[in-house]
Amino acid sequence: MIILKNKEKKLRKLILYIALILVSITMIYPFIWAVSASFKTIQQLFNGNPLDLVPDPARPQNYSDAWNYVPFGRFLLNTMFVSGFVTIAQLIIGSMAGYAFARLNFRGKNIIFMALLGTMMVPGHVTLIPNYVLMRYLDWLNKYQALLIPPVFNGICVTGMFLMRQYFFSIPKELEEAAIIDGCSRIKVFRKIIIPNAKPALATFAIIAFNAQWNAFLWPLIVINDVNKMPVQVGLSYFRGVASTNWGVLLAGTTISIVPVIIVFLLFQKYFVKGMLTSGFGGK
Amino acid sequence: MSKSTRKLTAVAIILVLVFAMAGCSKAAEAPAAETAAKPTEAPVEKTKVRVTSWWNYTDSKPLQQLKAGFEAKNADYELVFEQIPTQYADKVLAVVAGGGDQVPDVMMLAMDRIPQFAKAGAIQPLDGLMNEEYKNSLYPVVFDAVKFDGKVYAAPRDITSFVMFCNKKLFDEAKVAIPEEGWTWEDFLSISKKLTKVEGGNAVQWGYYFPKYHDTVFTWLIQNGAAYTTPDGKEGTLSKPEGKAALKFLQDLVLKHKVCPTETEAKQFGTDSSAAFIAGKVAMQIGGLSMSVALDKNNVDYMMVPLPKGAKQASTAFVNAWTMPKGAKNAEAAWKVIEYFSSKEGQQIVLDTKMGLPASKDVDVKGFLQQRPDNKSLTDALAYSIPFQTFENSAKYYDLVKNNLDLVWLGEKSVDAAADEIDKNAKDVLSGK
Amino acid sequence: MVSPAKTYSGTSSKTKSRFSLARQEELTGWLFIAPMLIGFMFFSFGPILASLILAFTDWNLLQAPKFVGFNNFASMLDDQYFKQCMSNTLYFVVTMVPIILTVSMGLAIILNKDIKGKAFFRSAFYFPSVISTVAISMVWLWVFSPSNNGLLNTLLGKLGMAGSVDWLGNMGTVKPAMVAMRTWQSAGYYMVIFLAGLQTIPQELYEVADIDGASRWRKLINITVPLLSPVTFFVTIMLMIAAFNIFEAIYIMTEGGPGGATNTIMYYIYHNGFRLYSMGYASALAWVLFLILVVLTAVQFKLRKDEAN
Repeated sequence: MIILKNKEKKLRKLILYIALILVSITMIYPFIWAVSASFKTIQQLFNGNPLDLVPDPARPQNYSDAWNYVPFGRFLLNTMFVSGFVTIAQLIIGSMAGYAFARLNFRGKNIIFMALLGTMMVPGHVTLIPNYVLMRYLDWLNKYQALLIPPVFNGICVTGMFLMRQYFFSIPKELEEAAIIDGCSRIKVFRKIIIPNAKPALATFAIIAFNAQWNAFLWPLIVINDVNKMPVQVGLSYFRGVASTNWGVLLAGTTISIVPVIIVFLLFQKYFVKGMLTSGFGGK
Repeated sequence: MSKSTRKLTAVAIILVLVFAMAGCSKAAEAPAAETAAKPTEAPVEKTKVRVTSWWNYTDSKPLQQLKAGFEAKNADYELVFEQIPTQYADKVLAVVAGGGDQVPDVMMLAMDRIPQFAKAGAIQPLDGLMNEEYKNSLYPVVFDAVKFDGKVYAAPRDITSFVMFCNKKLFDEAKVAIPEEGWTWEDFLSISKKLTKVEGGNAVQWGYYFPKYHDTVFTWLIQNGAAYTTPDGKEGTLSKPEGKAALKFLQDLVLKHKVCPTETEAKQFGTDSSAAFIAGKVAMQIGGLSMSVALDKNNVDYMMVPLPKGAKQASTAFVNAWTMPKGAKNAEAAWKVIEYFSSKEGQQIVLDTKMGLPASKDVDVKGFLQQRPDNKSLTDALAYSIPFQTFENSAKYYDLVKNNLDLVWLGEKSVDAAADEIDKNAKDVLSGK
Repeated sequence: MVSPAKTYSGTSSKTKSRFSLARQEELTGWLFIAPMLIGFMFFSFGPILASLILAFTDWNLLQAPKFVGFNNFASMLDDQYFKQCMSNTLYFVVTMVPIILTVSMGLAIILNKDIKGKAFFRSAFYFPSVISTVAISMVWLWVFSPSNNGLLNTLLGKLGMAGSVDWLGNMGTVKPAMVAMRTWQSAGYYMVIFLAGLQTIPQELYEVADIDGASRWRKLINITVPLLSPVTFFVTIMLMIAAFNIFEAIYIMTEGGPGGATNTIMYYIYHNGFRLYSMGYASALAWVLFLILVVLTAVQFKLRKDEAN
């Protein structure tokens, strides 16, 4: 009886593993296949077997074609610059607000908190047009300011603020109180005690924010026309509209836009996933 | 520094360096390409004139030559070209509406948007700036296309007439003769069928492809003696028998005879409208002179023949033009540029670089005709071309048309229902309600 | 006994110091939230209000806005495309929410077991959600390619299912295709949220159930699912909002077609706002969408409250 049960268990586990591997393949395969297609010639793309993962002949020129047709280097640079700036701004602003909501008492605290959380329910398109008009008014259209300032104040900022607040609750109050008794101002406490102790939460916040900015599409699409200012997602969409010759080149461009994210993901996997696990909260 | 912080910093530094190098070199290329025409640095501060179009300057021979030609004659001016690659009319309208620094001095505009922009005051009338000699040198059909409410709002860039492009390789393989002037819709249908190949239940080659542009549909409509609307642009006429018959003929091509691929089927070869033709999957396609540029670039063996004849022989004339937007900073300079672009010399450049046929009667087409014998089909077509119908509320009207005709091509709506629906709403939409 | 005066530095009397401390805290509080609050005033609260006002106007950007009262909302009732995009959006909500919920919960439950290489599987499943929708759309355009070069058609061919389906070109298949793509893209993301929730379930409950001889299915239904309900509730709301927000994939892959089959509210708002430049109508549409979301969320909250009682 027990032996049978063991066999059953082993069989079950085997099936489980097979299922997991199949799912993993489903998740990763399209990317592998896209990369392989990006090295194929037009001939092979249209007349060959798409399941053939080895391009023969390989055409790495697809990548130089893509790189030359539109300024991918520029797109990536723009995105790094904008994402870096917005992430840092959100980290600072969000954690400051998170601390205030976690530890400080002030009039209107709850109302403001609920109002900020409430903005997450508002679909992006509600604020899209007025923000566009505001850009027009400030003459920020087609300029970097439009990419750097308004995106700081989005749902990710609120999510991050919430995340930091939750985390700050878990920092022992005594640490702060001791410092205050010693005469530290709140600001100093924040800088010297809270932030150094909140690194994991900050890392998670930073990753979520950076990833969201990297993938931003609609807002840059409507405020930027100048090719040299486009961030990578808009650049990729522009590329598709312009370099229509063949799918090999298009997929090469797509791969170029994904590679930095893949690198960051592989290096910092644990922050992506663990962050979500510890906070049990996310926001997309 | 902890291990992960070090990793992060290293990655960040490497990435930034790589992209900075690439980014700087690419951004530097653009101005370098523009100054390539002028090898010596002019000591005088040049007046910059900004020109917006949907063409990519680095790829565009006509823009490069127009720039060279203009600057040769006007040494104290410098032309700066900007591109809005997709959804041009919508985006450029927003730019003009935004006012301020973003507004260019000269703006390319397709004829179908001229009424809308003129009505909204987005472009400036050019009557006062044109002289009689200039006005008389234009073909009448062109002149009508750039007028709104009695005033001239644009100067023509070129005029396009449509012909049928035939993929020689596919014709030869199927041993079908290239059609000649005078061939009819029936001939067209039978040739399309012969050139459509089906293997294993799937079509691998199609006889004809039409990207569902409104001006292509218009071409078939006018051949059957129909049109989108009455000449005054106030009421829809698609639901007249001639209109419905033309639409039914087109629908049958896709659904009944299956000689025409669907949009997704054609797009898999590339997103350009001529991609399927270039890939050798489509034997015939209607297009203008500019289509030959992409075909030549890809070494496609083709022949241009006049369109097949319906109830009558007709083709669509489409005019692209140069306009001066409202709020252009330097109106005088802008007009200088516009005048040059649409002058005999400017149009010769456009003809030589194969972007379109000249709108001016004075341009010499002999060289063009000698280049390829079948170029004659293009110039001949001008004689029986009718200008594409444009309205103040073009955007909304053609939106209405698109939404209904899309369903027709998918077989989800009958031609009768669609045409009736379009005409039912046409009056309100055209009048701007 | 230390006198109270000595515990606070730089202050003189007891009452004065307590007052200024509370005041100080209040000021500090305001200082700390100031950047976020000011930014949100300008780019969030302000625009939300502005869009409400715009919803009652007719404005094409070039000429001054015209006040038209409730006209925009009235036109919506007559607008067949509005009805179309409501029905399309509803389809996406009704399919995506349960499907993605089930898939992600299922994956989380499977992964929560004792498995070698757990971290690898977790990352692999989560990976697609990190990549931008634009890039994923490009890849899936190729996956869904009609005739035989599309990945999906080739795979189906190998499995013996005949024919080449034009997934994105057929009104009947395009929506299921988009749902499949979104499920693939985001299941991993929600799976991780469920994993976090699963970790809050005490192991003892399962051990007790084991002693009682409960089958795996019983354990699932009676312990796991009920205890996951706060997370399920949260994920359901997130999925609902996500389903209403689908835009990028449609913009890149189908542009609302074919024949308007993927014309969702978001896409229609974009079309009206940035193609037809009917800013007033687009704003009205956006507010209707917002109100629907609020109502649906409120209904969810109410259902949950009733369930708890």
